[in-house]
Amino acid sequence: MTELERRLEALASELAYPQADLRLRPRVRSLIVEQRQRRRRRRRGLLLALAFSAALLATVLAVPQARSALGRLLDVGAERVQVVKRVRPASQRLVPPGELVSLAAAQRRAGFRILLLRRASPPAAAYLAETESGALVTVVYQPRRPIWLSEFRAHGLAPVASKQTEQYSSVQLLSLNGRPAIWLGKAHLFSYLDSSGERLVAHLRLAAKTLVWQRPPLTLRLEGRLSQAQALRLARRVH
Amino acid sequence: MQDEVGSRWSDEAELVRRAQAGDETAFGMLIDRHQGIALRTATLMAGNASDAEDATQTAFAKAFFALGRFRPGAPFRPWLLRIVVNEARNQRRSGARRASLALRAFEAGRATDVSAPSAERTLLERERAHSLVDALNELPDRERDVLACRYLLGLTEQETATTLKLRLATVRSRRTRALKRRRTQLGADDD
Repeated sequence: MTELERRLEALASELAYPQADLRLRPRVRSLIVEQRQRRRRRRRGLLLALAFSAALLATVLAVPQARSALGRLLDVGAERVQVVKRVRPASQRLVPPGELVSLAAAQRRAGFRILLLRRASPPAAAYLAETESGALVTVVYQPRRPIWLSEFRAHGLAPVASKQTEQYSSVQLLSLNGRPAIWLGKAHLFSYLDSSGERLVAHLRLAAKTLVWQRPPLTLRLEGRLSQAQALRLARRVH
Repeated sequence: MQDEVGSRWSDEAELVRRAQAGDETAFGMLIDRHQGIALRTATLMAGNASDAEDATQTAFAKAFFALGRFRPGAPFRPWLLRIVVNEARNQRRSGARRASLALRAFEAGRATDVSAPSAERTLLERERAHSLVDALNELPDRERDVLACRYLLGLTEQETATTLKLRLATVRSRRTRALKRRRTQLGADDD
């Protein structure tokens, strides 16, 4: 260590710092209570906005002339579906985003209880990716004809993952266990926000047919070569 | 000693685990444990006591809500300090200020209660500390922040990297560059 480094270390005790406030704990506590209330209000707003979006989308899909004139976004939980004129080209990825981990490791790092398909053979693999909202876990079933069950936690209003599709007819609004769900019947672009929440990461890929639904606090996606009826049947077995 | 460190570590891991499960008392204990370094970090990054206190409180509240994202087994302190640094920088930006370090008020007694040669020495040391603070304040923020974490807060290189969201190699190169710059400015007596 040089003399300059020693002097810098010695300087630490000479600097002016505020006194460590012994009342910090109650002040933080009141901030937490305040933020909880704000989040609750925001969540209520989100539910209202979701109901409104669902109604709006249903209208848009029903009236061809209105399609191009109205907004083209629908959020389900932390996932946003966007209908665009042209989907950016992307490679068909054969593996889910994130790193391959054991199911136990995914469970340790996810920060929520991972839901699984009941009455199914054990998962073949699990992948874990960091997103702005926390872990995005994808459990893979049937390696020969894969079905991906992806799960992530929804926080606040901002969508974490997004899908882009060109065809309105491929988007269907459904209901699953009394909550809105979306069926995407065509390949579409899938992307998500990284852990810094600052940008869309390069994990873009064309996804297969997908069902997106909510089971608060989680947003779930089921993806694979499935018919809508098959996807809905499987989704009801997720616990 | 190793046992003591190990026990403290596992104790902290347990507190974090409980806090993640929603135990506010455990989170309160984490606040008590880390409020000192959090406040010092915020002061160094925000540049004044009032912004630093606000930033520290807000950072702890944000940390509470972000606990779900904290990876079990990872060190808690640099993770927390990263949130503190972000919050302090936000405060600094919103006030359009540049952070500057300041020495604490001079304690006259330290110079007058002792013999004359010691008093002289104290004053000389004080003068040198002032020069060093001035020199640090002139550094670009990104280099100054690295020196502040490493030497003024006593963080390891790895903790500094996590706290400032930098790669380890970047921490090393910024530290070397900043020290070289200061050494040139402060003269030959530094080494």
